Amino acid sequence: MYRSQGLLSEAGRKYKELIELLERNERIRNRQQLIEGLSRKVSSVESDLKKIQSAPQTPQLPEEVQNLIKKLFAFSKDTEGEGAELEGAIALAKFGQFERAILEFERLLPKDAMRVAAAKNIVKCHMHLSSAQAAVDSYENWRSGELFYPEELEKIRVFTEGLLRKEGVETKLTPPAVGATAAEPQAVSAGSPKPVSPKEPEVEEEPLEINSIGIPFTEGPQKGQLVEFDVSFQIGNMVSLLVPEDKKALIKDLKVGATLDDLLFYSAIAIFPGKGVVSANRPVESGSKKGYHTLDIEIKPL
Amino acid sequence: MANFNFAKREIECKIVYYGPGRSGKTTNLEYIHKTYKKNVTGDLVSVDTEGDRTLFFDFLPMGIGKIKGCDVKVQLYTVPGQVQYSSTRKLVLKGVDAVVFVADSLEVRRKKNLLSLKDLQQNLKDYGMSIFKIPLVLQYNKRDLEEEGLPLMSMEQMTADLNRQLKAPAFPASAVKGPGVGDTLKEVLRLSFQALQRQMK
Repeated sequence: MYRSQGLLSEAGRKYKELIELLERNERIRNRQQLIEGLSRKVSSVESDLKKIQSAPQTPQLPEEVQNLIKKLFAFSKDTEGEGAELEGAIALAKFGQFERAILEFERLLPKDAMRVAAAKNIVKCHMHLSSAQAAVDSYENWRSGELFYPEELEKIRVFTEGLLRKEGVETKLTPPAVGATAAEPQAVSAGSPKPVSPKEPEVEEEPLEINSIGIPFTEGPQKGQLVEFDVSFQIGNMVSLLVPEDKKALIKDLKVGATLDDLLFYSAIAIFPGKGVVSANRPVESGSKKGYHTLDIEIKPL
Repeated sequence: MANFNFAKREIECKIVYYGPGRSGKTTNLEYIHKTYKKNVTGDLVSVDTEGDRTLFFDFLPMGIGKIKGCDVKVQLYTVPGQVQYSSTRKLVLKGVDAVVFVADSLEVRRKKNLLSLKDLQQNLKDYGMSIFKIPLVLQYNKRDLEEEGLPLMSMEQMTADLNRQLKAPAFPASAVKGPGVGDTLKEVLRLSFQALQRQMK
C-alpha cells in the first residue's frame, strides 16, 4: 500500500521489518522463500529510490511550458514591457531552462535599461551550463562589438571574472577600451536582477549613491501609493531615511527584519527597482530634527 | 497580492497547494480539473518526472465570477513536495494570495507534514508574509486509506499537530476519490474573495 502511494522509503522500511520478523521466527513455513521474495522487493524499492534521486534536477522542458514559466513567473506590473521580459527570462533561468533563458536575455541586449542585467544573466547562465568558455566568448564578442558603453563592459568584465574565480578559473579578461573604469557606470541597468541559485552566492556590487527611496504601501491611509522618502545618510548598501512627523504613521509598523519589496531607488543617474530589509526604525530624540523618525534599510540584491 | 488589471477589469488571484511529497496536491488539481470543467479556463499543466512526482509545479487556471464588475481569474498551483526541491517551492510560492496545505493523514507521514508546514511558514516569512495572516485552508487528505487498513492519524491529532495555533478552516478529504476537494476549494476561494474585497476598498 505504501508503495502504491509512492512512499518508497516507508515501503522499504516495512519490507525490512517483515524480513527481520521472519528471521526471528524459524517455525514459519517457507520462511526462506518469503525472505528472498521480500529481499527482492527491497532491492526494487531501493532501485526506484535511486532513480528518483539521480534524475536530472532541471530537465529541459517543452517550449510551451517554458512560455508558461516566462508568463506566470514575471511579477513586474509592467506586464507587456521590458520589465516583464527581463523577469520572464530570469524565471526561466531560475527553473533551470538556461538555454532558453540565454535566448531571451539576448533579445534584451539592444534595450538600454536592460542591457547590463541581461549580459550578466547570460554569463551566469553559461556558468550554470558549465561553460566558462562560452561566458568568456560572450564577453569578448561584446567587447569587440559596439553594443555596450565601455563603462558597462567594465562592469560585466568584473562580474564575469568574479564568477570565473568562484569556479576556480583564474582567467583575466581584457578590459574594454580606454576611458572605462571599474567604478560607477554611466548607463545603469534597471536593478541588475540575478537568478537565484542555491549553489552560488551572489556577487556583491558597488552600490550607487541613492538620493531617495519610494516605498509602496499596501495598507493604511496611503494604501496603493508609492511614497518617496529622502535618504539622509548612506554607507555602502545601508541607507538611512529621514521621515517627517506627518509621515511617521506610515512607517510605524515596519518592524526590524521586515522585507520591503518593490522599492524604487532614485539615484542621480537612474531609477531602479529593488528590495530592502528594515534594520532600524527609531525616533529622532534631539536636535533640529527632533520628532522625526529614522528608518534604516539594508538594500538587498534582487 | 492579487494582480489588478484595471484596463481589462480583471483580477488574478494565485492559490498554491502546498504540502509534503505525495500528500495529494496534484491529485487535488486533477480532481478539480475533471469535476469543475465549467470554471476551468485552460489545460492542467503538470511539470513532473517519469515517476509522476511534481518536479516544478502544476498549474490550472479557473474563472470564478466577478467582484465589483471585475472578472476574477484564479490560478491554482501546486509545488513539488520533495525535500530537494525547496528552491523551486519558494519560486512557485512568490506572489501567492492564498494557500491550501494538503496534509497526509498516514501516521508514517506525521513528521513530513510538520516539516512541510514549517517550510511554508519560513518561505512566506521570506516574502514578508505571515502564515497567520494569509488566507489558509488545511486539508487532511487520504482519509479513505483507513478502509484499506493503513494506520491514519485521527483528525484530533492532525489538528493538534498542524492547526492548534493557526486555527484555519480544515477539511478531511480523499483527493483520489473526491470528497473534501470541492469543500477545500470553495473555502479557500471564499477566504481569497474576502481578502480581495478588503484590498479593493
